Amino acid sequence: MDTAFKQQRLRAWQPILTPKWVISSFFAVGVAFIGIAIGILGASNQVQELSLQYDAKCENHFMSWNASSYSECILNFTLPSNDKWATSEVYVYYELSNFYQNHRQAPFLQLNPFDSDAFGFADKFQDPQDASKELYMYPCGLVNGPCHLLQPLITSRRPCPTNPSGIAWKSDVDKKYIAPIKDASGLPNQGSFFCWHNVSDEDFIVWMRVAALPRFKKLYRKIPANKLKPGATYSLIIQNRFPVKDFGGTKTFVLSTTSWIGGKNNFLGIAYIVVGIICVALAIIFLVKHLISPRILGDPRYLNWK
Amino acid sequence: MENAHCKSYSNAPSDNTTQKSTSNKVVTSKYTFYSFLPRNLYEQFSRLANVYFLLISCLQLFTSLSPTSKWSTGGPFILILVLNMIREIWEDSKRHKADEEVNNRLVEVIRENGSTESIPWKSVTLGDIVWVKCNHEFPADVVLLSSTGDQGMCYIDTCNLDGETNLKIRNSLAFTASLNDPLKISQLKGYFEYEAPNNRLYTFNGRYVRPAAEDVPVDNENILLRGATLRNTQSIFGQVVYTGAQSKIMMNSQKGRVKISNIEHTVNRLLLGILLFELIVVSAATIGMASWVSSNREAWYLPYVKTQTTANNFEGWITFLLLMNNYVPISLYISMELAKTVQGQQMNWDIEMYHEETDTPALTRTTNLNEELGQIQYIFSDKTGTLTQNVMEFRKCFINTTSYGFGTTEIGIAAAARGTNIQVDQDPTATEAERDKDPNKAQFHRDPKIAFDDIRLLQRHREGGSEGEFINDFMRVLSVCHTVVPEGDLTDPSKILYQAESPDEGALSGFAKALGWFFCGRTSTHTTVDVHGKKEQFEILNVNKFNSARKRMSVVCRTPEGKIMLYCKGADNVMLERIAPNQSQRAPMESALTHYANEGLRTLVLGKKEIPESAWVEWNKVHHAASTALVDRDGALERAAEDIEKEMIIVGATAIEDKLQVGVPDAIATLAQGGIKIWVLTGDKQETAENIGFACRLLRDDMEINYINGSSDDEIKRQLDHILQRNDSYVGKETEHLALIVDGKSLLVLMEESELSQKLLTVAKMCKAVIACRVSPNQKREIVTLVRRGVQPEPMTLSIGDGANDVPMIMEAHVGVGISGNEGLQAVRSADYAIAQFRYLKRLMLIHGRNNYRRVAEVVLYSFYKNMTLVTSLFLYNIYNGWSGTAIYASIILICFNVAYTFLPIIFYGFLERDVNDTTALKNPQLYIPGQRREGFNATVMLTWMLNAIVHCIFVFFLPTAAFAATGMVDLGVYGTTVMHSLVIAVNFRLFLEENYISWISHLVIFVSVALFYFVVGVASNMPLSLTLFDVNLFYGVGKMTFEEVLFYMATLLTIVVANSIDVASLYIARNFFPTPTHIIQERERGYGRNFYNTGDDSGMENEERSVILANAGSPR
Repeated sequence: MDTAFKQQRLRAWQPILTPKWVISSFFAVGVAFIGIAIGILGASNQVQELSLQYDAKCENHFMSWNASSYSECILNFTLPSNDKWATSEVYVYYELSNFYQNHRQAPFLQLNPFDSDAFGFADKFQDPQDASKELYMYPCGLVNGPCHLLQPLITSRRPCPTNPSGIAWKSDVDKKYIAPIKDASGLPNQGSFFCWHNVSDEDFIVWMRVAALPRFKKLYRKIPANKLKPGATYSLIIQNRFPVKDFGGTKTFVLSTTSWIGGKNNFLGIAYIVVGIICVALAIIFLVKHLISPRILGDPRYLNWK
Repeated sequence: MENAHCKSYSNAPSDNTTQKSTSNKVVTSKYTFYSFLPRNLYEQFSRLANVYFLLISCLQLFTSLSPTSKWSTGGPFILILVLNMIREIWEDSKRHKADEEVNNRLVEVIRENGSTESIPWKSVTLGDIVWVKCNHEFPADVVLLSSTGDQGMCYIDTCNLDGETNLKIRNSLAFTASLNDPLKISQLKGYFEYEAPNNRLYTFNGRYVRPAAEDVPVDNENILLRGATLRNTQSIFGQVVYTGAQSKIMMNSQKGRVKISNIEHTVNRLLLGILLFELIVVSAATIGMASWVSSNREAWYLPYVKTQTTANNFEGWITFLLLMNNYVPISLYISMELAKTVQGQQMNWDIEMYHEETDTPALTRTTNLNEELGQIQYIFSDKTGTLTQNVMEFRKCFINTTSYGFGTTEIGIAAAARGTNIQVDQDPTATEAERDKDPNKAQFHRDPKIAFDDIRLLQRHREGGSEGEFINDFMRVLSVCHTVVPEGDLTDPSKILYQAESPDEGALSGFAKALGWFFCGRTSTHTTVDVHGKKEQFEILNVNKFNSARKRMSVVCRTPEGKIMLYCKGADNVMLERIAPNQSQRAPMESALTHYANEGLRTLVLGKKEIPESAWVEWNKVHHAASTALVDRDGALERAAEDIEKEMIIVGATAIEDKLQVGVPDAIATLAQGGIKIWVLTGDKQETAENIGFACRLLRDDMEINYINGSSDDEIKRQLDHILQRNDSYVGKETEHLALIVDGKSLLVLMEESELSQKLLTVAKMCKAVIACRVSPNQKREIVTLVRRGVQPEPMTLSIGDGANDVPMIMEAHVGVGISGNEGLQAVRSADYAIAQFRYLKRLMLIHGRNNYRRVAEVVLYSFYKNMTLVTSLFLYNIYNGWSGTAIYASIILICFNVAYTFLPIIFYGFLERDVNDTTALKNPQLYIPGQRREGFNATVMLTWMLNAIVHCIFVFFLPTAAFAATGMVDLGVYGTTVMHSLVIAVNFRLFLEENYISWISHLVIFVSVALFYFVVGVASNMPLSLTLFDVNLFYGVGKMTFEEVLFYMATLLTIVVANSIDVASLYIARNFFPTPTHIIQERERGYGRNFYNTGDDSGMENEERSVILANAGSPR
């Protein structure tokens, strides 16, 4: 009966938000944040990034569903003359904007390699080239379209590996996308279908990780260090297979180095510095108020119950 | 006789089977094995919120419209239903065990052939003749046929039934009293005819119909109720008349109305409000979807968008409803219930509310009202047994023209100090020698418990003469006119124990014994009194019983001298109406009575009357007819008694002291400081009530006491108007210096007219203290009703009492508190909380009530807050997913929000939180005021929390989003997990900021909750891919990638610092710029601000004491 818990006599910390506590906490947090911000901004500034939007240049108005039909265009660009491009590993991304891979009604979300229905024939749509034809997508519906069709290649002196490897999550490659899939002969014999059969292809796996926002980058290749030459000119050969103009999207090609915070991230550093400054400012305001007209703790003049 | 009657045939089982009766198997448990599931589910689904979640679960399970896992509502919902079931099973299993034991107890029954058979209680049927042995309980309600006791009498104790511990006498039917063995009793032929089953414990109307003889009346004197125990009697035979559920104890245990707390009512309304809000948000999202679709028809990769129709919009609406169904907090009720269950235990455990002498801890009978205890504005208190100890001590008596007994009471001393004309040492006529004050000389059989030390009484009796005659009459009435049962050694006055129905009776007969009128035996017809060694026998002819309406009892007896005498005792007002005119003692007695009342003594007047033999024979016929009446027997008996209790001769008056309970004045003064109005409702006279009021510091000298005691409309109106005129500047305000005393007689008139009762309320609201005297139980209830209905807004009321007469007001008030004391268990049975002493009320309200109110309010507010934050982020994410309803969080991560990462801390908060220490709360009763003003839970507070939720959600959602968007590398799994991470830490830290009492447990539960988040992420992302429950497979591998992502940490740190800095800053600004008195007292308790008033003279004072002074200084006068 007579225990500290039952009698509500547990030893406890009973803190109060006193001026000393609050002002020094705000000050400490503010200073720490400004410090962190400097670190982030420094790292972010070290990151080299090159974006090439090419959808205007390589405009196309149709979709192609087989390997051979596409329009090709070449994009020339000069790598800025910063040593970083040579000394570090360079990540190659393709970026789409206004593309809602996370739309609930898009087929990406519910996909499960073990679920034959999801892999199957849920997505039936009109062949854009022939309205009378309906296409069934396999193994995973429409998802493969953009993925398969987006094939930017850097050709000049070919610094970029042709085979995708090491770009997808290890867990996806090792466990998730090795599932035996239904034999192509088991496909329903109705209409024609487009078969993306190589489920374990890393480009496909990367595509399958749903992007959370309508503007997103996906890793395409990693170029090892010392392959690129700063200041050199490269050609990007693009096999152009789908339009983005219809829905107001863009296509961009991005080359980037990395740092400990990942890719270039200007927001984070600025956010930290702003928050840090606000915290210090609050600390100063509270301090000034406390010095000019202190509200002394426990002041009985405020004991008015009216 | 009407049709509503029952029959019970003796020794004729076949006849009895034609009677409607129930099995004697008693079931007090709520559930059986088969009824558990349907009944529990029915109860759970009578809560609207649960129906809502059932609907949502079904929609999710049976349609493909849910954006999250099919089980994302169903899973947690089932978990919460099961938790509730476990709680119920735990509670019910105790009742099952008790039932099992009772139903299988054995009892012997007599068969028609005179043989006996031992059968379990549950097999006992109507008409069975049972043979019950000493110290055994009766298996059903039975009529006593015969017993081994003297003349068929037996003793019972009804402690389990009504809590009264005194022995009571029951009598056999006269014609069966000799049938005292199985064979004889099995010869009995005939049947009982009696009223239908009812819950009246103290009445029974029936008769025994004999084949060839007159009917015999059967009444409560012959009844042995289930629940009572046979005492001091070897065995009895009795015939069963009510079985099982029809027995009186079961009829009584039907539940009263279930009181629902104010907060819970508000919560139910809030739930509807939040549901409405949810529907608006859902509809807004649907509109968002429709407009997004219409402007994105060209998104060729979304086949759905091309074909989207209006009908799809409805589906979209359902999708959004399923996505955002958690605006209604699923864990709210279970959190509240679990927290309140522990709160109830804490009150039971509280060692400071444990009364050691009677071994009584506080008892929480319902946990529904825990928080109401912290909001009480009006206390309605009974006096006897609640403010006083209900231990009666005989102090004084008035005989002929003299008042015997010296000294005065504490109340008398207090009254004398105020300058009233009380002489502390009464009766200046006593000579110096007579004031010897030796109790050994003053008493014949010295009783150490009686302090009576006036030696004149016995002296004058010995001297004889007319004064001696008067004294003898007086003591005779005391020793004969009662219903006390003697127990123990009947020859030794020091070893005898008087079992009295009321403490007053015990005190009176105890006094008579001490003075040498030793009541030493009672049979069904005779009472024996040993008068200074000489036995006197009184034949008891009739007894007119006491009840609260008659306020008197009388006995008609044949004295040893052979005269028929009526001895009567009763309340002074009823007695004075019934005495013969022109008696010289009347005037001095009345002045003595006033004097006694001023000393706070309880007074009774004794009377006698000689009845001529012939008159008695006449009257006895009337009385007999009344006592055998089957319809309105009580009324008939009352009228018969009324006929004879008149024109009596004054014998004297008694004055008994009922001492105040320990700590009452302090408790009342403290509660009054806490802004609580205390109304004392008592049956006492105005003077007694007033003096008690002073003694318990309800009234103070600096108060202006107003009286309303008129008996006509006009008079009362005049009195009220007079008070209003004199104090018109205080109308609508409460003032410290006004008090009101209302008389029960005036209340009768007041309650009739709404205009007058409104005026009374206006006056009463101005007054700090109100005393209603001479009120009946029903008037007590009416007063509570008047305040509840009349005062706007409706104030929170609490009634506290100990006796059956307090039950109506206990039931009527928001919170009923019973004192588990001497007057039985009736008040406790109908109360919500029971405490052993009035002074514990202080702790119950100022500490437990206050804490519980703050806690429960916070549980509700925080539950809404955290879900608001969670679900709004689900809504906001639609900005980035084309208003399609995609969930930002993986299902498994979302599901665990309410049942894992934020489940425990708020429940623990719900019974651990305390903003100030107990001593501070007791010493600064004003801390109770915010609860009365509902400052912890009202529309403003609710909106503030909702605003807080929205602000938090905006930062929690947009900051990580912007951080991820800046890099463009945004995997949905990693991103959602990061946002959830920020959310979990931010809302847990928010609760941490609300905590004022952070023990290791509080640290632990918050730590565990956040750790559970990492645990769930880690486990869920490593489950086998074949597991599709809660869509865990879609989360495969996300954990590792999330924990490796620098942004996961950097975005969370940024978010929680921003979100919680806003909280810290606003809490600090509130405390620093707009401090409430609670803030100040909290600070002073923690040792700040000591240098104020450090002027030397109070430097030796304890910190807390000083804060009392300060708090008083600041309180309004």
